[in-house]
Amino acid sequence: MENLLSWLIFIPFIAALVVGFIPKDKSQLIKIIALAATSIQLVLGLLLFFQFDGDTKPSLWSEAFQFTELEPWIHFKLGSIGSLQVDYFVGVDGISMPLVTLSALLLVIGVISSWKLEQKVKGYFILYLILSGSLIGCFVALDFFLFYVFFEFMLLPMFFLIGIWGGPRRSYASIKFFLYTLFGSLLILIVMIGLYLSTGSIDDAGNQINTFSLVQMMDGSFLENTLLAPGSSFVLWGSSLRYWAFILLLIGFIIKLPAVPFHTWLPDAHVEAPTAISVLLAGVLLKVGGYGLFRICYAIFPDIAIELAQPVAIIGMISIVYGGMVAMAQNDVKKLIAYSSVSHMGFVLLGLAALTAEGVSGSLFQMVSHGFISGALFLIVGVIYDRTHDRQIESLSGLASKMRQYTFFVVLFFFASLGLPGLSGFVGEILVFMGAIGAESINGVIPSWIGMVSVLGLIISAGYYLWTLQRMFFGKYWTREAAWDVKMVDLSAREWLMLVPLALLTLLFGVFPSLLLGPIENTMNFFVEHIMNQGQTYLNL
Amino acid sequence: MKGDMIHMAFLLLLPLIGGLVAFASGKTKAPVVALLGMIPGFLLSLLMLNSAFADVIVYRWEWVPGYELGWRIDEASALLIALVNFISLMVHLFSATYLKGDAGLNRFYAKLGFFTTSMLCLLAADHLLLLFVFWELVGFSSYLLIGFWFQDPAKAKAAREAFMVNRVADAGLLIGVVLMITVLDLQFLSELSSQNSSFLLTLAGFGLLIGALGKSAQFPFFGWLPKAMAGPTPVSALIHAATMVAAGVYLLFRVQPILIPAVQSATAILGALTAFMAAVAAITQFDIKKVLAYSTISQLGYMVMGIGVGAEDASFFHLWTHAFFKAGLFLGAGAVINYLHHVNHHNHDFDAQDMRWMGGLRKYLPVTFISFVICGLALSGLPLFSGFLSKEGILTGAWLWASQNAASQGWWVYLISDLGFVTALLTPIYVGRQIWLVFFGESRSHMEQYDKAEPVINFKLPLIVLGIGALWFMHAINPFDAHGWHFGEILFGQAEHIESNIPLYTMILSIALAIGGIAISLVFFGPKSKKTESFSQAQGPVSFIGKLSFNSWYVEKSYDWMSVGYLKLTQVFNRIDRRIIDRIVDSVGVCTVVFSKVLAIFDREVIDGLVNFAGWISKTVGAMLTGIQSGKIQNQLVWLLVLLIAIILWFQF
Repeated sequence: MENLLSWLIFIPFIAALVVGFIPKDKSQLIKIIALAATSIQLVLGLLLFFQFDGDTKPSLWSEAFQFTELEPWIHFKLGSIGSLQVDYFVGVDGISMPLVTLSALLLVIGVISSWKLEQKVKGYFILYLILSGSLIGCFVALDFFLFYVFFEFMLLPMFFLIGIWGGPRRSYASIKFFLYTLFGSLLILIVMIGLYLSTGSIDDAGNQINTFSLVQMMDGSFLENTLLAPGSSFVLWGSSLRYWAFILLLIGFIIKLPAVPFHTWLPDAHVEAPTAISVLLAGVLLKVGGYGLFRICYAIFPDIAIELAQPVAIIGMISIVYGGMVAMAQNDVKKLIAYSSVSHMGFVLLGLAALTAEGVSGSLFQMVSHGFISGALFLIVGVIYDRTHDRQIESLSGLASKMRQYTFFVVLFFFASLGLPGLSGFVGEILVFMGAIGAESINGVIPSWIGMVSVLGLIISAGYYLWTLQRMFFGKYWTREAAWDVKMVDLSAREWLMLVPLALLTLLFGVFPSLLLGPIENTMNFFVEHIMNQGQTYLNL
Repeated sequence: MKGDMIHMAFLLLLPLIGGLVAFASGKTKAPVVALLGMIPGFLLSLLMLNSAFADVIVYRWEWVPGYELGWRIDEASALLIALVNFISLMVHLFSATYLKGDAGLNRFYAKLGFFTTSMLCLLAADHLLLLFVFWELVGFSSYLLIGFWFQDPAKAKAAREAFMVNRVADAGLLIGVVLMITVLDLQFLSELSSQNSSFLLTLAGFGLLIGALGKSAQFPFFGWLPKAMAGPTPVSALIHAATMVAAGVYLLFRVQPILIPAVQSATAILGALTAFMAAVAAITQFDIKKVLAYSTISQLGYMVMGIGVGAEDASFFHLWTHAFFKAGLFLGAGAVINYLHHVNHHNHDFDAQDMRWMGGLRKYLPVTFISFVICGLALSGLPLFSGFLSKEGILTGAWLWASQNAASQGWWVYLISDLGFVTALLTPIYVGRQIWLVFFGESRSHMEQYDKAEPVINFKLPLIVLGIGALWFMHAINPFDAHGWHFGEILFGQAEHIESNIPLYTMILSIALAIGGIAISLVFFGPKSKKTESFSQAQGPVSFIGKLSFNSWYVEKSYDWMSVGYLKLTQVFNRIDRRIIDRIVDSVGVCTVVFSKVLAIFDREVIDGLVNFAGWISKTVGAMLTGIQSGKIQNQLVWLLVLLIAIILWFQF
């Protein structure tokens, strides 16, 4: 299919436009349009997954991308400085392809989850569709400017979706989310400008042509002795500007991830967000942070990635252990799961920092798997919240006797999240451990004790999930309010429809991880190779 | 080759398939359906045993890029697979009656099938990671089965605690496995050979040891097994006596070639210590299942010790014999509990597992009684029973190891074999105590009016078969030759018979200890002793050692203290998160707002002031000039003319 990626991006935008012209009392029609648009997205996403060619072995980033589209977008001359050139440049490789498909899946599930929404339906779905398009755009953009536009474009709908349709403290949570992320994106903006000024080529006439192309930045076509060129003479506080740029990007993206200590916006945002938005937030939006680390932070600054591997791994380790321990102390199930997300995203950081094939593949696998599992976990919380408008663990007990199907899914996803083998969470975690513990003897970038300490995460996550199961689902059936009793019915058909695909995928990828790791193998190997080789080259300059 | 694969897949998956179909077919048909899955599974495993002895079955496939996983069924695996299938079959049969009428019977069989398949796969796994996968799944299914009666909060709690203790140990195993795979490149169990000692090898060895100690309920992890008794009794027979807990010993047996001397010594010490500690704990328990739980821990301690002292063939043999008689004991206890539950329905309320309410049951449950005594004597290590043969092998191995190493390592090595012999004395004491208290004397719960004995074939058949399995001739021809095991030669070959010149004195000593222990138990707990008469009113022991034994060395209590401490720590972290990290974020926000307020004041008073001032001026001037703009056309025209002239004049000059 021609222009597959553009369709993926623009179908929701078109649908948003269509919804804009529909009178707001026709809420059913609006929902159907949103469902149709996201379903087409899902079909295209699956097409992308199956048509993706995993056999080619790239030797340069410019060979790594498939489904590429390149159109000039903004071009104007800036006199002696050169010319500002922004392209509409999209494409996928093994890093972005799984994330695009994952997003497409969760976006449909999010619409199904919002099906019962009654207030301000029109506005909600317009924002939702804008978010859908921007998300995909973020993952496929190969032009930094374009990436940044989509990155910022996600913020606004998210801000309103939490701020208008959220819980009681929604305005605090949404403003906190917005400002925090905005702060992060400002840091990214600074580096973006720096990179623009440092990347490009010199044409035959001797004119300098700068570019926002991420591919050129990754391949290292830097202009000589510019701000962020490797080996340039610009130094700030004793370190090269590249060093500081890496740190700015790192902070910018781990705010999004999020990692300790930049994580406190997440529990607030999750607790206030409506279920569907929580699903997207945990399932996909956090992955934008991880993706940014892969694509921009690591691939463009491989030298600093090697230099700073140890601190990054330690941040990952702290997130795993600390996030899990704080989750243990929560009384609100949704908050518990939010903190568990912090803990599980720590694995992404740890695996990436190891810079081995296992670690990096594990890190990406963990992102996809966490998308399924955390998405399902927030749906699970939504089931209870829809019925009782309460999420406190001590408000309910013995649900297993009353809601058996529901309990089945809860046990499945809790155990998937705590890393039970046979389910996808385990694969990501074991690969990360293999990467982190093995790195010392493979490339020596991080010592193995960091991985060993992180193994504590397995015990910690078992602790809070099992304790929650024991308190809420086992024991004698009891509800805090007698009135809830009639509402405690088992899963509806709609809830089944959302949970079953996620359960099947969790199982499928848990048993056959090669389904995902096979197609992306070459990209992953190239990613590691590129960083180790180019990083060493840069460091020697 | 392909036929073998299908054969293997069926063998491994049949219990699970049977369980799932049983789940779907509802609770009345579930037992029959599950059995229909188990019987062919068991027969297949016998076939497999036959073919594995001729030809080892190997299958490898790529799991993720760069990593191959593999199955391998060799003689040892095939033997244990047959064993697991056999015990599982017995338990399937027994449970049909034991859990009759339970609303979750179909759920029970699904879980049981899941467990059996996981256990079989664990034994067939050749790659360490694959072993870890099923190691965890076995733990998970054990969690599900312990918490089978989840409506009872105490049982739900017990299930969680058992899983957590296992999980802690599994973290150690995971580190060991990952080190073996990624750093040492020792991936397949069948390819392990002794390595040059290195720091990482030591670390990996200790990791594997910790994992094994957890699963096989050894010190300091043994507290989970008594808690696991919350599950239905047939489950205890299968999982917590014969199969799952043996997985730790099995792992050590497999990885034994790479264990360096320091790890070997630690294995021996911890095994011997556990054997002794648990035997002490078993002596004072009131709960019929708890006695058996501590006894299992103690026997597993023997096996672990055996691996540590290099008598791994004897350990493996003991694993084999122990599975039969311990499953028999647990199912016997199950029959007793089932009977007392029945009495309980008619009589006053009492705890059907509490031995203080039992006594004289040999008259009511004759088959159970005979089976229990046979299995109990096998456990005690009396000649003519299976346990004697295998335990003798371990004790001899420990003795020989100590005498060989005393010169190089010091006199303490004798302590290990001495602990083994002390345990051999303690074992018949608690076994005897249990048999006297449960089956002899008079009934302490006035069940004279009920004469319902074990009625059904479902109970009798497993008890009889397992009872026969506890006799020596099922395992060896000569009742006194610890190395005469039928399968010993196939598994270990002649070369492994290093201890073929068994010192006669260790055998005489252990026979004397077994008989002496039974005599001691008769004196203290026999039908004639004073203690037994007042036993129904007995409270927990008061002496220090008694309390230590009754509370099993406070190991379980220490878990509670640790988890309370951990919970407090997490609350501290939560407070740090809310009060410090988040407060900083909020403060940055507040500072920004304050700063912008200040700017706003400046803006309003100063900058806006200037603007207003400008505005005021223009307003005033405007007011002065409004007179000019009267709105009359002629006036406007005049002004226009004046302006026009002025402009012309301007350009002129």
